[in-house]
Amino acid sequence: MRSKRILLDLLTRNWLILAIILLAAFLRWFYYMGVIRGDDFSYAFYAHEFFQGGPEGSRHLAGLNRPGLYVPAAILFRLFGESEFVATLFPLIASIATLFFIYKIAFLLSGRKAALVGAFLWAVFPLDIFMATQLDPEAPLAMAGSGAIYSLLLAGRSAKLTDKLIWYFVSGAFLLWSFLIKLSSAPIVFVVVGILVMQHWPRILQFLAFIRKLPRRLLVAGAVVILFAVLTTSAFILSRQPWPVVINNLELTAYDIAPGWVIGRTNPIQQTDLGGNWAKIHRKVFTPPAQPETLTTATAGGRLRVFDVYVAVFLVAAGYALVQQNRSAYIPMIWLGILFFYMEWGPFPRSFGSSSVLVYTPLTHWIAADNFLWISVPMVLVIAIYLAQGLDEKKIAAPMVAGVSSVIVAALLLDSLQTHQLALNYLYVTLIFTLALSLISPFALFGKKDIGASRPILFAFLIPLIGLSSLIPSPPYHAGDFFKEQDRRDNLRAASSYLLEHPDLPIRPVGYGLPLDVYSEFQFGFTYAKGGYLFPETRFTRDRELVRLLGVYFLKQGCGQLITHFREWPFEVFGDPDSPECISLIRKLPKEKKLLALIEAKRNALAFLTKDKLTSYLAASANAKKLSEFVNALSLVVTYFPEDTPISQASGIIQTYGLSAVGNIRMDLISLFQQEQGRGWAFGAELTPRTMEEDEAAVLVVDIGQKTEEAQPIIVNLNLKANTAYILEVELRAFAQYDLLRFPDYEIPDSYLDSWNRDLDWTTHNVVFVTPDWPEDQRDVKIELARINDRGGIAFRVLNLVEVNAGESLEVGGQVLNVFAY
Amino acid sequence: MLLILTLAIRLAFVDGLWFSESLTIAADSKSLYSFEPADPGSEPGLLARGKEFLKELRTLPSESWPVNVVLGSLYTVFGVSDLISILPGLAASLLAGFFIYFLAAQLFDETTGLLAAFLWAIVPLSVFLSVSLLPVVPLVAMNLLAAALFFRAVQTPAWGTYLPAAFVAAVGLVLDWTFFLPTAIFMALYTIQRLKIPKWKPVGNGLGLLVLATAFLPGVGAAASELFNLNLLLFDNFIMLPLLAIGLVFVASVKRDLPIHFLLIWLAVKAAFVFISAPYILQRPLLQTIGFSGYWLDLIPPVLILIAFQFARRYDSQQIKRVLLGIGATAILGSIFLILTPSFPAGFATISRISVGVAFLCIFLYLAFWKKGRPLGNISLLGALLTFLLLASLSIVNDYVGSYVYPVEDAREVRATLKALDGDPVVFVGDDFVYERLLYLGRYQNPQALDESDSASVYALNPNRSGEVPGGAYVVVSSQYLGLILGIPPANWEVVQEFSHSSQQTLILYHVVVDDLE
Repeated sequence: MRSKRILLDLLTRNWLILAIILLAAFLRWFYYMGVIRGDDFSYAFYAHEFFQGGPEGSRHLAGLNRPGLYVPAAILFRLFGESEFVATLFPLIASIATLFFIYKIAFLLSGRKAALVGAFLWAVFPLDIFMATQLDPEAPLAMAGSGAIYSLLLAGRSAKLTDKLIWYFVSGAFLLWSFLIKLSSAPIVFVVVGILVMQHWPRILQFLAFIRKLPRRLLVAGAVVILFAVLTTSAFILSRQPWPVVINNLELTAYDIAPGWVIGRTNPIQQTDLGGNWAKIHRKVFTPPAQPETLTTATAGGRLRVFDVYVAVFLVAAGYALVQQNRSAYIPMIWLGILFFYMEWGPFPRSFGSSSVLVYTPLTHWIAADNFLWISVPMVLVIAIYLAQGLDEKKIAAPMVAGVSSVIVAALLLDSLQTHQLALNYLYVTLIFTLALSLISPFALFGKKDIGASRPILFAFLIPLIGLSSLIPSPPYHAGDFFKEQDRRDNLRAASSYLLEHPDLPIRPVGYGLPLDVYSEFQFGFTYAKGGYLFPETRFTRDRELVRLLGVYFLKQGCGQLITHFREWPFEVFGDPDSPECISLIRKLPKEKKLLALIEAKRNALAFLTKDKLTSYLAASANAKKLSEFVNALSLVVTYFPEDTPISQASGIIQTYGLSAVGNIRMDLISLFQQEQGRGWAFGAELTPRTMEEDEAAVLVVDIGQKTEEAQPIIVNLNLKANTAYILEVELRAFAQYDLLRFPDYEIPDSYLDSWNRDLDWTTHNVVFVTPDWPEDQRDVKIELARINDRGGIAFRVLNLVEVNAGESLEVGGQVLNVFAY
Repeated sequence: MLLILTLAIRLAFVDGLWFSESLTIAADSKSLYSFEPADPGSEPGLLARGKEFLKELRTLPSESWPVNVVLGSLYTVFGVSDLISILPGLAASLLAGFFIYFLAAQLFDETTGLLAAFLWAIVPLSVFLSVSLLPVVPLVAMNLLAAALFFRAVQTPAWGTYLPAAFVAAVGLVLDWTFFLPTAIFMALYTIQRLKIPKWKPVGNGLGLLVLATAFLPGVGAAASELFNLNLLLFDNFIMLPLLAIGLVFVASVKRDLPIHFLLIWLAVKAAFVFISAPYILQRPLLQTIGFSGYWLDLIPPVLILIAFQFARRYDSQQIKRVLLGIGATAILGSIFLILTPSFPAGFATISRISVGVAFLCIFLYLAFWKKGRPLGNISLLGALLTFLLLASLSIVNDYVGSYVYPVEDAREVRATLKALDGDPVVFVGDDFVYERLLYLGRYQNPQALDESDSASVYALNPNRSGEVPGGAYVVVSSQYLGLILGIPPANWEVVQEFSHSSQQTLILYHVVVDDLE
């Protein structure tokens, strides 16, 4: 009963911060990312391996020096089981913990209003929402950094020595944790030093006064020692890298971090821009690559918009704090200043004590603006302390509730297809209003009579406005920009389920080994160790002998592209075949199993004539490397499911194995045109055909009489065999726009995509099609060889129709396909 | 001295006409005074010529009229050259600098005026647009004149003093109402506010809310955000934004009087108009290349006065004058040196580039370490900040210019190559932009001549009759023109040389070989 009362009391008193935490959780769930980007797969794997003494044989694996990130994930794996969600639980907890630390730090520095505002701002901070559900160092680093500073502040305010020591210890622990998450966070030590200096400034002054009282001899001697130490250090540094390198590399600063943060210029300097001599002495002055529209175009990719609202408010807040000498904002400003200018100037001496101490490393090495999350905590604190000054203590709940509820509603509206555009437009309005109100807000703070009276209203409005503006999608730091990766995850999950349901063959871990293992909840047994795969203990294998004996599955990205070898033909596809994220599953079987599988697949295909069975027949014939069976299967698909015919992929195989077949019949259509003097051919109304000699070869030239927007066809009537693969060999040059091959009277798919093209130089195309399984052996078919429009014309130097006759030429290993009897 | 500084910095970056809009303005201006009577039988004489002149002028875009009229007469008197072409922008920039000084001095004091004029002299966008032949800077100068005249009128009780400001604003509205409407609205609002009409306040507030409500019209938010997005990309904002923020905070902290009210309402109306009317502004032809930056530049003068006011209130007038004198004199000497060198010396390029980051740092150092009663330390902070701002501006403008100068240099090389050819070559140019540039470089001596010595005749190439270019002639086409319009060049065109200073475009010079069969 008592505990219930305490809980109720706790909820009643802290309902606002609880609502903000719920909002933070909602937004992070709503814009869930997961393990999808790249490095996070490795971290998840290290977490999985941690309690098993691994990962084996992987001393030099990238990211293995970040146990502060993957050990907590490993502990969570142990507690809740290994899944993608649990893998992202640690950054999510870290994100909420950062919110808590911001709340507490702001409380310590400026009171409850600032604490609530700070917590709200972090709850809606777009970059944290984005990073909070990814197993990457950024969110945990922000948490460890803010934890260290919070503990330090508590230590400074503790009266008892024991408490002081405990909090210093906790602060040190957080600091150590942050190093273990990302070693390059080391400069946070300077922040700690800065805050300690600030906290102990009176004592430092006392100490200086004490030093002044020391005998002069001692002082001079001490000064000489310090000077000597500085000179020796400088000499050491300069002996490694003479000063021109310092200057040459310094010139690149301020083109990286600061413009990215303030105006959103993304990644202006690539390492490739610097050329091979970027670390050389006495090289020429670096000039950023010319941008023809440098005034308006982001130098690389789109503009970084994720800080649009926050930077403007921060500049006003920082200006206000400095002008008003508001000491409560000094600590976060020192914190931000040190880290910001470290990021700006720090990459220049990126590693202390190393021989490359003066080598500047541009922003590319910070990879992306993800790193800004680190400095966003103090930025949010400065903003919170500023906004809190304009809010009414007693009426703080109203803007907070308005902020929380409006953000939730807007997020839902933004997510709905029907209301997305409308919601987005009004979110842009909120952005503009937020910027305008932020800029005029100092007038309300300073004002006494006129604007000052409306101060609480103005600042109360700013809270939901900032929240709403934060929802504006800011590519690429938004879950919505990762739909490809999400597609790939869904497809890999489907592939993983399939492979778990079909445990007969091992899997080759090339390409998707690690992601597949992560999505299967580590059921396949991925490892970096050489020779570490032992099928059937693990599903993966690299053992060639085993593969030869049993066969193997492996995965490949993409489904619809050209396939030139039988071995690449997919057995199953996962996802939309037109999507680049579609996954092909390829099955390799031993020789005898291939033929048996083909027999069974063909029998099933002919018995049921369903799409699945026909597709399996096609895959089995490819696996068995039987071209005539492959063409037969393809013909059946053309007959019954023409729209689903994988002709683009199959065209590569038909060309690779069919073009050189001995029994092929090649018909020269240009000669045919000359012989028949155009009889049996038809041309669009604006077209004039003629033949001419060029380099002793006949060229069929078709000119357009006048500029036309209507497609002008070039048609020929030919007799085609049923159930047969054909290749139309074309060499052409066209200023007119052209599209190749259509069948006006039949639904026969071909490998040339329906698209308009223009080729000014001679260009070769081989267009493949397979005729349906007609009842009769052959038919007269009207073929539209090409259609053109616009102006100029088209010239054909080669125009052959090749009938692929694979029957005699494709015996593989003495096996002829006709052995099958049904 | 500040006017000399303004001039010297701009002259250091003069390097021809970079934009196709500039070439169009140059060609229009040249032809403005060389018109022929439309009707051979029409009445000769000054009046008739005047009528023809006006008729010709009215066919041109109205925002360019002042530039066309001035530049046309300059071309008539001095001939066509790069220096003459940028004179309208340059003169307007000097005038704008003077108006900023005058207005700031009227509003606050001379020190604020001097600081604001100094900032105008070095603001990268102002420098860059001042040496581009575009209508923007003259319009900005006119706007400033209207504001300055209006402030004088506000201070006097006589209604007649409002007339000059109203006249300038009215002329401006005729030239380009998108630029001058905010000024007109500002004047109207400010005047009504000062009339102290009973119950004006609620009506005014209602009107203000109504204007704000337009932001909620469909598409306005997205357009305003897009415009903001475009504007924010200007690299000089990187240092302008923090300065604006501290300027606003400081102004908020002092007691507001008439000048401050005037400045803030002026800035607010301009900013509100730019963003609320964003859907329309985005459709403006002026916006096509860099025109939108003109709207941004028009916002800058009140911002500069705001920033200058903030510095001026923190320092003694004599201190600021000494700092400006020192930095200004050094900068003038340096700029003269830069005028004489074709490009930035390597060492200076390095130092100015480093200064971009240092200037940003200095803004915060200035704020953090400025303390009352420490004159030497404070003046060092200001001196360092202004010095690095100046150096950073030079670096930023240098990069802006570097991005646009390559097509100009390609065309110059083509022209030099053609002039060096034996005989009097006939040249066909297959790209309007290149054709206009070659004619401009030839000073429009004769529309079909490459230069004043008539060493080459220049014609525009008809892409549909490229096969008919006579043997022996030369053809110049750009890579884009070849790919998109011309297609396959005739077999008898032989490549003589390719010109390319950047990966964006190549100019190809062909020689048309005489066909043996002919």
